[in-house]
Amino acid sequence: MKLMFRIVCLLLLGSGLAAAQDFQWKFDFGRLAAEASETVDVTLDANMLSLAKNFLSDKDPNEREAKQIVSQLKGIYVRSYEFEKEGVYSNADVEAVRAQFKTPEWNRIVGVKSNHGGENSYVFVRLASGKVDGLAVVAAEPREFTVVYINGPIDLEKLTDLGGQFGIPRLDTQHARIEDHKSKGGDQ
Amino acid sequence: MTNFEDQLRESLQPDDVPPGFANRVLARLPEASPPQRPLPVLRRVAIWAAALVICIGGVTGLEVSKTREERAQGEKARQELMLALRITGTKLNQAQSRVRQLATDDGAKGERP
Repeated sequence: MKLMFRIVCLLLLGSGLAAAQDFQWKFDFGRLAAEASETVDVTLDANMLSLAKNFLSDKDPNEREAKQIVSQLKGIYVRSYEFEKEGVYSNADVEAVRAQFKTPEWNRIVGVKSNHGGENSYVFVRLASGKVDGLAVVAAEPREFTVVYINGPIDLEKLTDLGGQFGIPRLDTQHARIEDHKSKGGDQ
Repeated sequence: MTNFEDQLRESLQPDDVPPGFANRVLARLPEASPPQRPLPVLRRVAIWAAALVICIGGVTGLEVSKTREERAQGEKARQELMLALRITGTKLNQAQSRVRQLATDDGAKGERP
């Protein structure tokens, strides 16, 4: 009986810890943060998103749209670093960050890799029941490195509607697919 | 012995206390210090009201402080959310521009003889 009680307690504790565990980057951004001239570190889990939603204004069109977009999200995580000089991070660092989204659940819809030291951009989506349930963006520029992970169902149509408001593009999936085919042979 | 000393000794001689003197003194003591009167009702109400006001003030102060803290947290979360969306939008925009540019380049190459 005592053993059963202990097992139940352990299971409850385990489930509690699992629930408490949030998304974590598998890459250590410490070195980049230390060398960056500007750093953005946004970590908004479900609770913080819920809190943020309550403070979004219905009068401001941008915030009204934002409220709709994040209504079902479970988390938004952004790391963005700007550097005074080039070469602070290596291709290996980019690959290490991308590795987190190279699992079968993720699909790359955009992959642009410059061979001339320009910008490398990767956009991944995670699908669940045929719908987008997660979005990840890895953007590596000579003096800037940005990673975004959005957890939860995202309405791409609504994102598309936001074109011009936040600088969010109208996603052209046809072009994205063309690029995807092009880049698939290259680096994934 | 002088006459004066005799007189002095006689006058300093303690007198016998009359019977019941001590009881009479004790009986008169309460009259010397009147009993404390109970606080008037108004004053008691005032004391309770003051205590209540202090309690309510304390609780309200805590609530106000908590609300202010929550508001600050919420405002910070709102700003972070908008910043995150702005960054995401910008990066998606850049990726989309690159894709369009590459698609245009490919189209131009395809049209060449």
